Amino acid sequence: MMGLKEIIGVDLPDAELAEELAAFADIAAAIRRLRTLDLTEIHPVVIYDPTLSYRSRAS
Amino acid sequence: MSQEPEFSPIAELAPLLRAGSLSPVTLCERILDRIHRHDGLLESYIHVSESALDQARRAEAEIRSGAWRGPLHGVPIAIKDNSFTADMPTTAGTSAPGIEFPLVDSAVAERLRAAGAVLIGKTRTHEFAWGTITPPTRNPWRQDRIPGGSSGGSGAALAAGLCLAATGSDTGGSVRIPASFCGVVGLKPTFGRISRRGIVPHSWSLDHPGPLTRSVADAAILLGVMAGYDPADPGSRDIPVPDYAEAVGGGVSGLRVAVIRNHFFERNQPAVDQAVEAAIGWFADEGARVHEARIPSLEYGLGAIFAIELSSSTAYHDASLRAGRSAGFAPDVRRLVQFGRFVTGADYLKAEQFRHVLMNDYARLFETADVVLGPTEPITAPPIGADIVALGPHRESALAATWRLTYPYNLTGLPAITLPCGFDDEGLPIGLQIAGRPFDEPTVLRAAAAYEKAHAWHEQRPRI
Repeated sequence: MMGLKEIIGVDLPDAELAEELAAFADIAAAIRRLRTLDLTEIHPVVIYDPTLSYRSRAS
Repeated sequence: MSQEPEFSPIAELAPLLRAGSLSPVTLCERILDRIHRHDGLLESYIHVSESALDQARRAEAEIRSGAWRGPLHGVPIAIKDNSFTADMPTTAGTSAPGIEFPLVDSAVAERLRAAGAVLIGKTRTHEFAWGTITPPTRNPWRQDRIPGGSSGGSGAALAAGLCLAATGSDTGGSVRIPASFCGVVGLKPTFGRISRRGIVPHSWSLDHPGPLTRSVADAAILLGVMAGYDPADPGSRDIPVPDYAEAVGGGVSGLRVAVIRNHFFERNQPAVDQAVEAAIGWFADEGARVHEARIPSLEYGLGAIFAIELSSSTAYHDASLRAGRSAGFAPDVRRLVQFGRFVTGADYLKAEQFRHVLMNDYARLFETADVVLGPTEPITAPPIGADIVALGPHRESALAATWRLTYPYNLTGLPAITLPCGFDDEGLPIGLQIAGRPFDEPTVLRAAAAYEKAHAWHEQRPRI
């Protein structure tokens, strides 16, 4: 459990973490449903823009 | 003027203020008096401006000198407490030690101030705009009910006649939810239409500032002032701002109206369904071309918005989490802010991929439709303290129910407005939601204004 907590960056006692995970159950179910989609060919809507910093400086 | 000035639309008051037959100082005094008398009960404001009367006096002097700035000149407008203001503190609804915000104007406050508005106070938000309850604010229609949120203070203050309009921000429905529950108009414009500069971030790609108003015409007025390109906001779009006030005069004959039957009509309170079906019937009777549609991909939307909103919120609050400042957050908000740790990077990016699918599905729908009609909320305002709400035979968490019908337009960034379309048998308002194509706020406003004009729902007011 300690290894997983370090990986996800949660600094909670085990009992409290178990409580949080239980509260997260409904959200986890919704995200699991999302995971079932095959979106291999779909580009995410967030598009990287290398000119962003230059535009900000210009303003 | 149809009612007392504090309950009149700005569109009706502006000519009076300009002509000098209504004094901005008198108007401000009346609003301050109502805040003094009623906000002890409603708790919609967290801060009332010490300079409100001075602002009103300045507006009066300017108008008298012929320097009228436009329809908001001398009009008291409330600002949601997650939007920075130079002359009033911002808390974003938190009292956690170690968290402070600067005394500078957000883009929204700056634009309203330049238009001559009197920034009368800061309205309560659910902490960090993370929730739909907005404690301790009460709903003016029934004080044992929540006002919705996160812009709950704005909805309650406006419904109770404690301001003439208010600002909000909408990440999953936070303008439209309180507007629907409080019986006022709430507009979430297209993402990029109004600058987010100076608004405490909740989820960068979902946050939309927007106005809450007493009428659709007032929403058009405020949008015209609040909208515009801002290079300081990376999401801001440099697209000309049309004259939204012009849009509110047309009818709906020939308008192509889609009704998405899945997702939006699956688990609603019967009174909500009845009111919204009646509204759809009105559009058909007026010559709109109504057709039914389905967007099956909506069944994956909840997971997508959770993945994006939770991971974004955790990223924003990461330093506070690590420094222990989140110990001062309310328990519900602290939990949500921590939940992003349980969302993987792959989940987040999959949600952003899914968003593309949903946006394409809506784009296809808008090939044969000008607007989409549906309910704003599946329920009317639930009781304070109710974590679970009943929807006929179904039971659902209040948070999940309240944003279920609003978040699709945050994922897609499309403009969506709510306006009153009836009341349930407990006298609680019901909201009609109208959405449109990106940056086509004029068509959304036209449809909403035509419906509003033919009904008197927006003229009802709560007894407090």
